[in-house]
Amino acid sequence: MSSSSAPSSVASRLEEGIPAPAPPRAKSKKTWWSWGLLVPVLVFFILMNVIPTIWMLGLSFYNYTLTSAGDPQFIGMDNYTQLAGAGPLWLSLGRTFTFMVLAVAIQTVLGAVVGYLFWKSNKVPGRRLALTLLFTPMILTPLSSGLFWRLMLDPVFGVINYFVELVGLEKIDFTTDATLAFPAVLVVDSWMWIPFMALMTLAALGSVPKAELEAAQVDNLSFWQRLVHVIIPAGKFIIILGILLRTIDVFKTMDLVYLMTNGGPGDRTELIAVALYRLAFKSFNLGYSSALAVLLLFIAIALTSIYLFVLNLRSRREAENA
Amino acid sequence: MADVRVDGISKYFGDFGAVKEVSTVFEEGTVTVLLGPSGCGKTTLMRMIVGLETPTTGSVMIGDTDVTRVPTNKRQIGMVFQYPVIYRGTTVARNLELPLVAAKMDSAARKKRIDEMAEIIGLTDVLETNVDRLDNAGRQKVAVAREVARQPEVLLFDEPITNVDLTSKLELKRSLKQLFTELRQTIIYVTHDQTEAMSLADKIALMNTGRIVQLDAPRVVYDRPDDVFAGWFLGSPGMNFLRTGFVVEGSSLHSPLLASPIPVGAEAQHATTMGIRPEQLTASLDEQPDHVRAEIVDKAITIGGRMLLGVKVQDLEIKAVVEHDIGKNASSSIWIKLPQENLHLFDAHDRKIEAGLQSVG
Amino acid sequence: MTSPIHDSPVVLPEENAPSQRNDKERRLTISGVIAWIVALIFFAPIFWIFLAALKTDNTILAYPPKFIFTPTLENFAALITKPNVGLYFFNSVFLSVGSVAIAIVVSYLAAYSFSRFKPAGTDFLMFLLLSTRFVPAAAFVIPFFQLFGILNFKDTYVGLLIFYVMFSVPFSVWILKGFIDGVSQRFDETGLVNGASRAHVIFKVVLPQVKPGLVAAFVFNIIFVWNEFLFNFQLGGRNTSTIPVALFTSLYDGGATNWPYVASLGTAYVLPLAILIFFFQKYLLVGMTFGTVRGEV
Repeated sequence: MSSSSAPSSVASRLEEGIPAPAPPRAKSKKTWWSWGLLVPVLVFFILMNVIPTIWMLGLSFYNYTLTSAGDPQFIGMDNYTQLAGAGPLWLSLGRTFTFMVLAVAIQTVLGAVVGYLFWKSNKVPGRRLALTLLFTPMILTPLSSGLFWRLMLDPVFGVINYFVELVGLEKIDFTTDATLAFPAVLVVDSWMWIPFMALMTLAALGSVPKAELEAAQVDNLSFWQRLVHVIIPAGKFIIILGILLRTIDVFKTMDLVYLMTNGGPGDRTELIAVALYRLAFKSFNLGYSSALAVLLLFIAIALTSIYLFVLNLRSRREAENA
Repeated sequence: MADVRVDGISKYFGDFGAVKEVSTVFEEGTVTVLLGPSGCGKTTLMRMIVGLETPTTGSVMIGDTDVTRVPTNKRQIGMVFQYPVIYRGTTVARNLELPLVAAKMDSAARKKRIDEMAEIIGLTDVLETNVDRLDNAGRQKVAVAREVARQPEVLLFDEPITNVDLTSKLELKRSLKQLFTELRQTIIYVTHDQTEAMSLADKIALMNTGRIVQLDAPRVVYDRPDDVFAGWFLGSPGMNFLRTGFVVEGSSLHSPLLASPIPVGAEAQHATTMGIRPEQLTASLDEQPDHVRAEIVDKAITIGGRMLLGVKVQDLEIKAVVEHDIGKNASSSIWIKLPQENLHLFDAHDRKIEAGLQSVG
Repeated sequence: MTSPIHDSPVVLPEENAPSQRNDKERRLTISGVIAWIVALIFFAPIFWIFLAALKTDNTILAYPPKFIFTPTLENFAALITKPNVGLYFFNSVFLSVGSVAIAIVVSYLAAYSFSRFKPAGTDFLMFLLLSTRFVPAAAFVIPFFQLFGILNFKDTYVGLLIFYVMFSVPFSVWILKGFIDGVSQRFDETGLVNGASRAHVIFKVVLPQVKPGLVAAFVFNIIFVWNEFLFNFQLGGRNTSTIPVALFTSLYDGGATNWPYVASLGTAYVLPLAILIFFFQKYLLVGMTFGTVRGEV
């Protein structure tokens, strides 16, 4: 990203004690345009992002439960101190972290394999249709994925259990089984997002200069030599961006779990976003859940910063190599 | 080392014939430059030789082996690309080493080979430098060294100095020339730049619209072009062509451009085009007996400091490259002569006619 | 032009360099066969829903599951005659198309400003915009729930439209800025020097050159709004429910799940998405990365 033009602004000139020259007309016209064009977005942004954020921040300092009578009470940092001591929430944050590591690892590795496979077969008949079939899972709303999988995982008539019985096991109720619910969610999440990592892998492979691949072919380099010296140097940034996007997404994962297991059995599949939703709309503890929302907001901002950092790193590297 | 033969080789992309029925031999130990304008099929021909493109018809032989169906990595060919290819994130030495590792050479031999190569190409000082830090010229040197170090049967160069900045170009060209002389390898070198071709080639294979037009030593291609295209493409500016303004009567050639008729062989009957290189006609400020007077219609300066004139005799316009003094001092007219040994005649298919013109000179 | 110094008697080859032409020859290789199998495996769960949509209630619940059966369209016939289904579809289409159309206009103007004038704080605003898409939706449900209550926006088209406009802005700004950055400033300058107004430059000079960006932003924002569940569920109601919400509520509709209904509605929900993916595959990458990564697959 380019640096802003702040140093030459009128304000900074005044601070430095330099008398501001009368701004040329063209300049002020430009300023007018630059902000004028932004007004509509800013209006929406303030209305739909800034105000709700401030509202949320405000709420987090109040004791406010919808189900109990009485006005909200200002309690300062109490919600936050309560948050710091809330075992179950930290557990679910830890669980989210476990889920994240497993999901991202599985999806990155298998996504890379699938992406590589499609890259190798770039001349397969009907490739576009095949890619459409592959990519459809990731384009579905997680809610519908959860729904579709419920039909397949149903303990009574589900097709998965049919195969389970075929291999000689007994029927399993995956979504309520204490040990299998978490892996079941992980599998469905991976079904949705392996295609995404395959997409990122395809993009990464597509960003490798053709001549480098051909040179490696002429030089008869081994698969590993190609991977380490040709493919990874060119494609790594896109893969890292993909991994980051997946990481961010795990923190957002709510509807899928909500629909498949509702966080259960017990709290076995309660990821942090599910916990937040439950707090807000099951126990109606708005003040406390807002405090948690603020925490998640900070995590999201931190992850966004990392994401943009990598993005900038990539564009800078590309500029250097151009 | 081996020669490369292509036989009836074609490449069609849909209806577009990039290379059409080319049969030729790239001789052992010879630097053959594939020269032609962009889109003439030279790169496609080279890519079929290395195996990066599958021919639509025809075959490729390296030595006595038919490699048409052999994958690229088994062909024993080295190739330097237009875009300087380096293997990133590692040192220059490691770049040279990777193909040797792939070829299962033992480490002592690798080390020896790399040091030799670095010495020849001038990379000794940067062997331990990370290749990412080199500029394009440096990277291309690494690519050349890497391919030469593999000691393949044949070495291919696809416009290797195009993506290098102007100052490094000359230096890289010089080191390639030196390298080629030392190697005595079978080398096929693709370029669209005629000066590059003239200085590097043992043989030039001139290509146009998917075919090899002429394959000869550079001087021969220049002095005795096989067809109109060869005459036009080589030289700057290219040869003058006259579709009208000359006649062959019996055994003599008449033209307003000639002070007197020139004796020609019987073949000249079929001539439809007459050609002469702008730099090969003689010019004078004063009237000369065997010269004709030409009106000057255009003037420009050439890079070499000579003058490029557009001159006109009756309604025949031709280009003439003349000494600076003559060009500068000439005002409205000049005296020119078209020496017989520099005249070329072509038939209706634009092919050269042997009319005995050159034998006199 | 007729100067003898510059004419040429020779026909040059076609300018189209052959190396740039793609060898489009189709070939079925082992990896190609495996790739197709993988694609079919990933599609299987969705195909299972398609099949279910063509089954009768009893066949869906049959055990062992029926792989071969007589397909019937009666679920779809029932779907059409269901009272609210038409409304759900209307809501999904109206809210997505309406909000995205507004969002793109608004975003294009902002993206132009960010790209050309780079006002102070551009980077920060771009960062904030992106981060709004990276926050768990659940975090913002509460403030929206309350604000919509105060503003009387709940279950109104106006409220949801405004919400979805903002929902679509970050991606649109990011992708459009990327595309506008790719259009040389010389175009703007040439226009202005020639006496065109800034508005003319924005709409007549630059806009036509970023069409792919507009298409990508349009298609993918439609998909995102089409898919959005949580906010529609919490802020909408019987008047403004979209298909995902209808799918969800049908799950608990009167105790047992009405699978024929879910399957046929689910099919009707998936098909437009799959068709969009088929036709706009080249924008998938930019769409799935919120406009931050461009390239083709």
